[in-house]
Amino acid sequence: MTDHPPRAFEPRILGFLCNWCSYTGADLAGTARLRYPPNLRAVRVPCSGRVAPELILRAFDHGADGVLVLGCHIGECHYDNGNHRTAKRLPVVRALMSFAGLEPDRLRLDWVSASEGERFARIVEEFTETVRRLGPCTWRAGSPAAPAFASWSSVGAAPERPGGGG
Amino acid sequence: MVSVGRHPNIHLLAYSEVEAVSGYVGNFQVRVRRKARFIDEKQCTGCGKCAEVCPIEVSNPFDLGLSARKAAYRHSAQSVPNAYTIEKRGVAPCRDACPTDQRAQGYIALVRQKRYADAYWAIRREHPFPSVCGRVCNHRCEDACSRGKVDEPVNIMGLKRFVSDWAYAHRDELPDQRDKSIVGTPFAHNPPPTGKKVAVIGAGPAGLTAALDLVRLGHNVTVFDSLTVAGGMMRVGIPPHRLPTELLDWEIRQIVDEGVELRLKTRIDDVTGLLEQGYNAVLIATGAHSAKKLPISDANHPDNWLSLDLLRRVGRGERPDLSGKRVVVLGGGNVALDSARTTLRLGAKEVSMACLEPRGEMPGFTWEVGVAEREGVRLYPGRTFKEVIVRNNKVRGVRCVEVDFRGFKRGRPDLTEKPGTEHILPADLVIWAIGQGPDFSFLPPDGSINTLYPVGIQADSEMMTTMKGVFCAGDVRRGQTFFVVDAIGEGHHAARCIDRYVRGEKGLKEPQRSPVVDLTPQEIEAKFAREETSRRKRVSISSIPLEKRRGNFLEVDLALTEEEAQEEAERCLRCGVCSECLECLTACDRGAIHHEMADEIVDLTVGTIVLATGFQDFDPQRVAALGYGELENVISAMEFERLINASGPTGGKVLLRDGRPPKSVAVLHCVGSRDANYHDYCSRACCMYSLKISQLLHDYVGAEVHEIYRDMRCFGKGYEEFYNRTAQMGVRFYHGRVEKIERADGDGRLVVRWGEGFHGDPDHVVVDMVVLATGFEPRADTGKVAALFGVSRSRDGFFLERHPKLAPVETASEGIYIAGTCQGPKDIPDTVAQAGGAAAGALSLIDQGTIALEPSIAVVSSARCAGCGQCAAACPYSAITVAERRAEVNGYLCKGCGTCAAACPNKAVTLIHFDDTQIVAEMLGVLRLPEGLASREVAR
Repeated sequence: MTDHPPRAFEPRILGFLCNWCSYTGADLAGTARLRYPPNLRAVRVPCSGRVAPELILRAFDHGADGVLVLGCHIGECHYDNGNHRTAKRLPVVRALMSFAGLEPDRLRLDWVSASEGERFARIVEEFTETVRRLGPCTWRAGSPAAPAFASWSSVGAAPERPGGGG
Repeated sequence: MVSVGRHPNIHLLAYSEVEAVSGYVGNFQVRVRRKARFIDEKQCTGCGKCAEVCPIEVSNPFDLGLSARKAAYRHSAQSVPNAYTIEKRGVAPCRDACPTDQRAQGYIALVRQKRYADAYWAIRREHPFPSVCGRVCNHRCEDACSRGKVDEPVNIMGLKRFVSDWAYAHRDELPDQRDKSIVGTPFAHNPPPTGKKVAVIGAGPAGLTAALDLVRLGHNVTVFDSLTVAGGMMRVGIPPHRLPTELLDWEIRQIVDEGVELRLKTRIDDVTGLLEQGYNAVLIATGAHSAKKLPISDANHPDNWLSLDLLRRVGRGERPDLSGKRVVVLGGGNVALDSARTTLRLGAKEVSMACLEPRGEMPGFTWEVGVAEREGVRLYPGRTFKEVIVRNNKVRGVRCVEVDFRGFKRGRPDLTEKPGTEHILPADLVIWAIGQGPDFSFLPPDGSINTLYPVGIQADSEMMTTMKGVFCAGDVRRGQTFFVVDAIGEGHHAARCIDRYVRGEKGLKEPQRSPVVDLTPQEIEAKFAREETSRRKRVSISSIPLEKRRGNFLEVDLALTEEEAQEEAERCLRCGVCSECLECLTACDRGAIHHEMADEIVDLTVGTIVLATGFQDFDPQRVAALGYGELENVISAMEFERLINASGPTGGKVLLRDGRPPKSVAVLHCVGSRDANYHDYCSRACCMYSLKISQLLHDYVGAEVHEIYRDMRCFGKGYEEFYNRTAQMGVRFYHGRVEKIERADGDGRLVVRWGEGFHGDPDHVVVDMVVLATGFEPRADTGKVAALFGVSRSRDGFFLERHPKLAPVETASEGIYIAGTCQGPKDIPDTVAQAGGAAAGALSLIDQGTIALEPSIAVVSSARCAGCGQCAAACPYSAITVAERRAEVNGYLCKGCGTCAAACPNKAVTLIHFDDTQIVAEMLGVLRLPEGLASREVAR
């Protein structure tokens, strides 16, 4: 075995960014050439309300050390109140994480509007530091793959008629 | 603007606000409230006569408070539509409190303009007896007056008396002037006869008011009264030292002159007989003229007089000689006070008043209690009367006992006598003034006109008694004496009820009620700050000196002088703005004015929306160092624009406060812009407009101009050339950041000081006037408008465009466009260009005629769906319905947010293009390390 020099821990942060506000705000941070840590890997969703709790848990499953969910400010959701749902779900996920032995601070929910490039950069900076201090996520290290989820390859056709299929 | 107003395809909804927006592109539902203008804009020709006669002046916001405008106004000389509007906040509280709906704010405004005849007509619209209520009313209007919230209420009663006295003094000239009191009402002088006959029993305020209204509708009215004089309680209940009889007689004569037949000395004993004689309706308004006595011993001795009998005799001109007599008046109300002061004037040696109520709770006017005492009446409050003492067939006194009185409960007094406090009030004459009630002796003995104890004649909501066709109004209906103003109000109501009874559908309707204005102390303070009203204290009424009152019935209280009336009228806050004096109604030749207009709600369905809501000026008062608002002659750029405008408040002359033209002016850039304390951004248009202002000052005012700038932003076509020309014409330019403006010592000029000047340049200049180039900011209600339409705002508060470079006129909401300064500061060429862009965007949608929906919508797998409804509950657009235990998505309503997918416990709903497989696949991709394997396996 080759001796590798010890590496400083670089957290891997998965971000769920809503398309209309936070993703655009991140875009703005980019066009304004703001500096922020490169640890965030963004996944675009139409609304923060799309972020189901199990997607977050799967993120931890698949190697994320921290998950950042960003949506529109309350009252400004592009889809009216999708972010209200998120605001209600995420605290439950955090409580569940805590119950199951995973630091709840690894999950952060925040609001960034489309014009808040600086705010986005600041939040990513803060959260990266938080996760760096918490260290690598040891959740299910080495455990076998999670059970399969439903396959939607047939999706794209019209919704099924009542009485058809099973 | 004119072509917009005239284009057949453009519907201009002016004076309107959007209240609610729903729907989506192609199908927006917009609810608009069209505020009532009170003028029909299609009829109005913009002639301006209504504004000429309107008595209400308020500060004109179009001229930034530099001029005043009327309540009936046109927004500006070039406004589209060019129609007038009446600013009316609601019903003034003084009007709301009056039982006759008197437009007090209206006649007060006319008094302020010295239009006393017009004020008199405004009063007579509702009130036929202003000389009476101007003296004896309990003025609930004053109790409700908004001015009472900050100091004392306006002396409305005093002003009414002033006008009625003036009208009496000028009564010979009045008939030549047009009677405006009936304009806009269903009443007329000499109207076509309806053929209906009405009998009124009782010529008091209720009866005469009803008679006047009915005769003006065309009915034939006869008023019967058993006394030899008309006027009821006004004539025989109010002593002449409170109300000179000639004034009331004149007002009654005016009623008779309109065609009311008055039959005095005629007592009606047979009400049914009147109906049989052919009268279509009868109004009983006989009042409450029976004074009450207590059933104590010797209360029936002839030297016990009833207050009303005494007052009636005096009212008829008798002057019984009471010299040397000691009089005790029993009672604590206004009738008792009138009786006591009357007996003093008839020569009584000693007059005392005794009543149940303690001093502070006597029902009579508190001020009159004080006056009575000063005139010599001795007060014995808090007593009950046990016995009238008679010896040798003469009254000697009244035996009284002090009591703890706790008020009347169900008509009976609740009191306990204080032991050991019995005493005798010496008296030769006892006057009973403990209460008055109606006389029912003339009613049919079979009870067909029913009476109720303790009130009066029974009447329903249409004021009809239990006998069909017989109505009642006033004190006879209430069972006791109230105030004259209440009786007048009932008279009007009775007239409406009777008119409905005799004419059915064509009869008068009850008037609409409007919301009442309720000014907050802050709004009142703002009116003082705008100098719309005077801060003076209330003027009090003067009276003739005590010595002059002995032995005569000269009127004691004096009217306000003309000067005092002006001062008092200036104190009115004009709560409703428009006072409904109805002068405009009389002035408008086209009949375009309708004061009973209400707001109209219009529901529109539109495909696209363009927001072009503009900006507001930065308020330079926020920058204390510049002295705006404190130092004279520091003005904002917009104020300068109004001054130099030929249709502005000075007709185009730029003048200092003292009226001289300025010889030197400084123009300062960047006020409120590029400043971390106010707004970070540059307002883009100010450099160029400052150059324009400098050129105008140089050319048209002939002043020496100094521009102090931080930068010169002349970015557009011809702009740099404009700057060069300005410099060539002699305008001085100094680079600098202004630090302070202050008064120069001695001569009243202004010193402008700055830093960051070029080396060798001066750092201050002394000028006559300073013009501040104020920046642009988003309008105060931008947050509300953004929320209404569902558009976002950028950090500076302006509406957010979809993309700063690629989509500057679109918003994130499809179908909603923005244009102009609501998107950010800009000048007119850029605004027009943006407007064209927004119009093109909207047109392209209209041209296509169809919308491409987002393909990313939700779908349901019936295999997994259990019909729990979580998805339907989560959907912000109600796009999911659950039927027969299965959810179904409406593809047209679904906007593709995916909240339903996250809510479904069974993963039965998902979002096309964003289903779980896809998101997890993305996740895997981004989380995969660049080097490959790490300390953990990556699950597949």
